[in-house]
Amino acid sequence: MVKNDSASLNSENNTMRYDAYEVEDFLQEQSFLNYCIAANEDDVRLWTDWISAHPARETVVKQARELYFMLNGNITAKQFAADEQSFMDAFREHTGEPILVAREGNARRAWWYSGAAAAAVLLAFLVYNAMTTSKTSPANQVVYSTPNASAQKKPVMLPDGSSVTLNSGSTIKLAADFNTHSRELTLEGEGFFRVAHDAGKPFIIHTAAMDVKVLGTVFNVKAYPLDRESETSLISGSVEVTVQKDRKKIILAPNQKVTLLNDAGPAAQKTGNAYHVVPLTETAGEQAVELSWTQNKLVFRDNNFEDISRELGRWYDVRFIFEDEAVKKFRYSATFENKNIDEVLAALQLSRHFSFRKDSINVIHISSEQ
Amino acid sequence: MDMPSPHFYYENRVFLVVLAEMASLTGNNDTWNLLRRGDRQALLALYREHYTGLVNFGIKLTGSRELSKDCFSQVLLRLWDRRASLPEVSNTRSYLLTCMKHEIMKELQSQKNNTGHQQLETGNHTEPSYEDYIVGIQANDELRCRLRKMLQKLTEREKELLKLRFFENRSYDEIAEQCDIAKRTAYNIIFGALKTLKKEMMGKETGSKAIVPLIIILFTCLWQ
Repeated sequence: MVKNDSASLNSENNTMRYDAYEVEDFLQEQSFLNYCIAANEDDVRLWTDWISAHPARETVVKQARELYFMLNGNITAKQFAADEQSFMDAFREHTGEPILVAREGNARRAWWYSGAAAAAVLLAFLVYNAMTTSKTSPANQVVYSTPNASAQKKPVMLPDGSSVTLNSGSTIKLAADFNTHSRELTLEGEGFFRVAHDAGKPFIIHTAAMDVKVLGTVFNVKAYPLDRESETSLISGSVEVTVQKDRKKIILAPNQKVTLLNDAGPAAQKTGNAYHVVPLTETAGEQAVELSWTQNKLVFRDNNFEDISRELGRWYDVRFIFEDEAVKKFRYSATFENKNIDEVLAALQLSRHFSFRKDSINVIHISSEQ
Repeated sequence: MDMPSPHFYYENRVFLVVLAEMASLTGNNDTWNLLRRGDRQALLALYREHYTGLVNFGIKLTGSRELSKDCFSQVLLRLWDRRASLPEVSNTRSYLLTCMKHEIMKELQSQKNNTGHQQLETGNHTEPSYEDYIVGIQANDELRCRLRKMLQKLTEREKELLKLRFFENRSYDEIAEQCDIAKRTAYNIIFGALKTLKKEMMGKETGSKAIVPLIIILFTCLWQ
């Protein structure tokens, strides 16, 4: 009979015994078999984590997997995923409803707002920060977040009538007194904001790298801890950005953005000038690149592969391992809409070649081999 | 040198297998009962749990993986439609197997009707042996040859148990019952078979690998 069991059963105190495992031992673990065909998320997580912590055992694990596929009638993770997808499609066709409800927080869904008639001015903010330590009150916080690879990018309605669209892997926390005498929140990740006009209550976004004060309009904030830079982009209206490090204030004009290096790395220390104000990146006749994600488009304009890989990682919930430093520096420009990760990588390869291989289900190795 | 197979070596593992199966047994019924209450995730969980066993079972009957997986989907969709009136079951797998058999028969019958009395793979389709099947579906001659050679090192019994465990995805409890042997015996036979296959798979390096089981034993001793 089949098991959902094993991940929980074998967790932590038992993972140590895996260290001495040989091919035949791995294949005696149901959780390992589940991992091989990716039929159980917990087991996949358990084993992917274990393997990345024990790189020396990779060959043995690979042999075990190979042997399992021979014995189970060539059912691989790929095969299983394809069949599972067609089952889910059949379910939808049969019942008119999806088998899985979108992975959204319940709190968030409650706030979904359809006919947003918020202020008409567009203002975009992109703020990257390293680690958002909350400056607002920690108690009774309302939190909205989206997982990595979330397909839905729908606006969340805030209590003051403003709305925010969150990109993948993003979280906002509202201050406990949000909308009493001010409207303050912290952001980690990226969000596009439409701020309802209310001159009496300033709307302030805190991130690790900067504070952004909005004077009643619409805007977008992006703040991912692991990224190299933070940036705030303004489409129109007016915002005031305060750099966390030296409390320096910058007022942005429409179609400008300010870029800050996260966590003042060596480069920032050297120049002492950690930020730049530059025009937004326009695409011919379309909206700014900085906002393309709100329409489910992935746009790169002369970005290096390392930065692109972070974006792709969030978009598709995958992890990249560069086996070759040089590849990180490859630069690409591209626009993708409704493409899967394989298609994206294949397209990038055409522009400048690299090779990639997928390990298990969500780790992608990149190298410069021909 | 082969395993001296001391009992202490296997004991704690067998214990874990027992635990795993207890967990799965209750887990299964939970899933089934959730399905009866209209939980879609439970339906998906059943798909995931029984996919390997049921699809492989269907392939043996029909000779077609496409047909088999479609029938399996169909079985689950029908269960979903009848979720409110489903009985309590003690063995989800056998219940699903029965449904699967019906579904396949129905499907083959309707294909037969549609195509005139063309001889489909139904009655006359001869089931290949497990060994022939898994060798036959390898991607190329080299792999087929390699796997054939590997399997030649096994006894019939070992092959039978490997089939039950990995192809039909049966638990050790079920295997023990079906083969009328102790669970530990089933476990040991499969463990031995896997070791043999691994040695063959890795080819020449067998000599140096002989020391590994000793080290494991040593470790296991120290840990107790």
